[in-house]
Amino acid sequence: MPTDQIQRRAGLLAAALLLCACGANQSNLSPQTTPTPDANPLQSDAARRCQDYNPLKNPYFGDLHVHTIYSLDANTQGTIIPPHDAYRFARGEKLGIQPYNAEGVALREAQLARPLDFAAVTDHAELFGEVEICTNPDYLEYNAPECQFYRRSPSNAFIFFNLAAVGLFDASQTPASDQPFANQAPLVGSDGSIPRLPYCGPNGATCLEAAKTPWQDIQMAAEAHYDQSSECRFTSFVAYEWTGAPMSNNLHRNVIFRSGVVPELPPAYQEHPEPENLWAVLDELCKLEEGCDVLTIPHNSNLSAGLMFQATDKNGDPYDQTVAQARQDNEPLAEIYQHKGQSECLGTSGAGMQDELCGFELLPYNNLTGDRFGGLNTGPALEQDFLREALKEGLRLQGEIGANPFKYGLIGSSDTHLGTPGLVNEEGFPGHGGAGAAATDEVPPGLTDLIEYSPGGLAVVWAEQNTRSALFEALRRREVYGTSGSRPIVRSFGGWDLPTDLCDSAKFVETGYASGVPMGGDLPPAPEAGGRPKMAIWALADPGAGNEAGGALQRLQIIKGWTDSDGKHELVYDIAGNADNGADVDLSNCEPVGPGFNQLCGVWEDPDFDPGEAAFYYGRVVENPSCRWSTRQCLKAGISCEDPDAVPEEWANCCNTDYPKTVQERAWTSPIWYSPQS
Amino acid sequence: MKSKRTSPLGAGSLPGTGTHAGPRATARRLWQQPLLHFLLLGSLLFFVSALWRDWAQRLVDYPEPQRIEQLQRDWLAQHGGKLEAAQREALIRQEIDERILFAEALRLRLHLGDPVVLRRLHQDLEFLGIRTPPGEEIRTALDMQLYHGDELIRRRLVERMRSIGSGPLPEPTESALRERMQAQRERWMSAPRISFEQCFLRHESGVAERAAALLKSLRQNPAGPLPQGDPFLHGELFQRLDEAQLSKRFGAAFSRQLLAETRHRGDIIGPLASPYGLHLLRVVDHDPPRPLPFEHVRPQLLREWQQDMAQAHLRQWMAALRLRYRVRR
Repeated sequence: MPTDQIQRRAGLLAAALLLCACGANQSNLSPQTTPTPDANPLQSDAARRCQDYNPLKNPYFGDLHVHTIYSLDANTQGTIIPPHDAYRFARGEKLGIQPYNAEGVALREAQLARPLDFAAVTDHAELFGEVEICTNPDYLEYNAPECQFYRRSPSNAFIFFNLAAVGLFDASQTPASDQPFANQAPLVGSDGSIPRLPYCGPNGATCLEAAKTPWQDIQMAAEAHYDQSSECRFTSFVAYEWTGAPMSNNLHRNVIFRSGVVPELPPAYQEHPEPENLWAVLDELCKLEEGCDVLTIPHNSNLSAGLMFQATDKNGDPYDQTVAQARQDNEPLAEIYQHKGQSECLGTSGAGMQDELCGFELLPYNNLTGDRFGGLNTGPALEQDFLREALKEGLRLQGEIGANPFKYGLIGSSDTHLGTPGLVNEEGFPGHGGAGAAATDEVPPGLTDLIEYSPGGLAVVWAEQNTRSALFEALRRREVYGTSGSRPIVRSFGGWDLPTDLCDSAKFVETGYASGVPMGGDLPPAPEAGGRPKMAIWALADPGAGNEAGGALQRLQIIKGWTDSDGKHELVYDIAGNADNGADVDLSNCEPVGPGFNQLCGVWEDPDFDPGEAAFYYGRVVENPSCRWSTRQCLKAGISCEDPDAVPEEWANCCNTDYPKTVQERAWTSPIWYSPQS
Repeated sequence: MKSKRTSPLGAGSLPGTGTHAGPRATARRLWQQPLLHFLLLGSLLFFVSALWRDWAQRLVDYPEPQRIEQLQRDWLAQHGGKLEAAQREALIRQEIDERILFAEALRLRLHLGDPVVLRRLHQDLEFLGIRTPPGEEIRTALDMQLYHGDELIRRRLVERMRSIGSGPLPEPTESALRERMQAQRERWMSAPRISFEQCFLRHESGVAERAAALLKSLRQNPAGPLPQGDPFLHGELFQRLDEAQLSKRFGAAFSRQLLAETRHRGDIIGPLASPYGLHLLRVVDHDPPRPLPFEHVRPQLLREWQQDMAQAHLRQWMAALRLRYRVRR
């Protein structure tokens, strides 16, 4: 990249950050409260009553994974959209997105056909202060060598800062942690923390102080866009991303706060380099003031190289009941899908080997640098990094140590690095930046993102109303599902006494609550007289809107996982619809071909239930095939693979047969668990 | 030798000095003093010189053809379609305005005290490989007028000028905000909401005839119980849904049609088509748009009021500034 372009980009970034900067300082580490109408935000928020309050709950669509200017990877790639604009976009406004011309005018635009109901800006907290200092000449450290490097070469600085700050090898997470040399090395967390960059000063104090400015701006944006009128049109959460990735093996978590009462600084990886540290410090800080509550949501376990669902604590010791329970309490949800692939199943073991749908948006490597360094720092994907396997492992641990650390509800989100929450449509996908491709100075020719990436998904929450309290409670109880970007409406219940003809009832929902538990719940104890659990799922196809075409449904499935003395097992059941309905796509124009279902409902009874075996059941709603984002772009560009030599190099991936031309969009419901002890 | 007494103006004795000289005579004598002439002439020259320098500095070039081409390309990349002549003129006017702002910032010497500009000049020197004695970097960069070729500096100074032109952030009175709300009352309304019950008929053979028959019986007894339809996930009763929530459940076309056709409580509407089937509806309640409470919208009113005030101030200030600049073609 020409130097003048680099300087211009760094300059735009600097200008934008300066414009966004606000200098309020806080002098203690206790939680702080952003302005709310009442002294106790939890009580006042919970007491609100929205126009559409519904005791049987409404579906709310949102995105809980969004990066803006304050994330190092986003802004070194040219994103200068602040949190305020990201929320405007989520609410339906048109937004200019990268690249920008010399005047800072965005050269592309984006707008949601359907605004979101909620969103959370989750910028990487680890380098808030480092970036602030390097882009604000008011700091003495502005001229530090690292900052000069940052401004001269943002793309290289991204790698350097990440490796130096959040990608360091943490010895305590390795089998070698009992080796003295590992924990005595100067940069591997020997004092329980990861050192910050030299210009951050002793204990990183300078960078920590500087981090307050972006963190306060994030809070103010969330507060400004939270609709607290009785219309309840939009909910924003104060949030951030904890970005631990030792040796680029992903342990990232999004941290979502229930209210505006949040810690003065977001606990970051450098000071709290293990998830157990993170939960402990969040718990400690939140206890200091009424109104603070928090949960964490891991993502991209598919890129953790075996780390995400390792049931060992920071010392390498196996989880005991306390640690496992702490993980379950703090971490009720996981992202099953986002633009860096799905984390449901790899399909290499057990019944998963016959589950062809596990091939959906599967990344071919196992960590965050899979597409860099010629593949030297990565390896093939691992089954243990996928949620289906983790859910089974959780059952095993429940039996072994008395607590299930991997009791995850399921959501999707985008992980956009363009500040565009909910921009997850296959049509018109502009790329998401971040680890993928970015349009830093111009729209590069060819596909708008790496071929293996995709637009990402959405989180859907069943809640009484669209307020922070109601949504957060639903997240906590896991009454949520994830989608791969489309918007089908899905409800599921599990119970012993669900009528087998529930799908013919006008009271599906009322009966579901009365006779069972909703998605994310625990089945009550098995009846003494014996019996088998039933699962009921009803899905309505996405009705579509604007350029977001609705997708007809193909089938409903139940995925059961369980453990017994022989180990861990899984089975996939089709309970409604037709896998062989013949639906397809005309690849010459991306038009769907063949029949589909506008709604599907099924009540399924576990035919092999054993009351002595722990089990989980989650639903998968599968749409008919539709064109993948890459296929749409190749079609528009007029690429023909009949003569591969005639295909321009930048479009070569149009003819890459490792990636499918079509996808089957889908939704995953949070599981319902059965425990022999329950 | 006796010294000769001189006037403070130093030009010889003043005849008639003393109690007998009147003010007019004194003024006349002052007016005749060469030193006064010198000072006045000097001041005039200084003033004219300043005016000349000011006039000379208040000159910007009309955008070059290649620059206009670039502006048009950027506009088309962003908006697509066709660039109308009026839009083209607006782009040129905006470019001229930015040139004026940049020139005015330099005239006011804002660049000399701006840390971003100074740091940037330092970087420019390093980038160009220009060696200077320690401590002389900034002066050298200023002498070479490197700020003219640096886009960041230009943008920084233009933004600073706009900030100056926007004036201080004003604080409105409460009544001003209430008046604004009143003036835009259609904006600050709750969304129209509809509560209704439905008889749903899934898409299958003969559904249109079935719907027509049910509708006929319903119209004959509009207050009676709704006929039994097919089960639907969302049930039969819907409370206070607005357009977005209707669209989420039934699709946008259904939502628009229902809102358009709803007039009164008890209205029978349908059959309306959704992606899932046909719907016969009876309106249970209809909440027309109502003004939102002032307290709920005050933060947004305040933000918008301040933005408008700042923009109005900037427009006025910019218009005055334009009058003081010449554009060289």
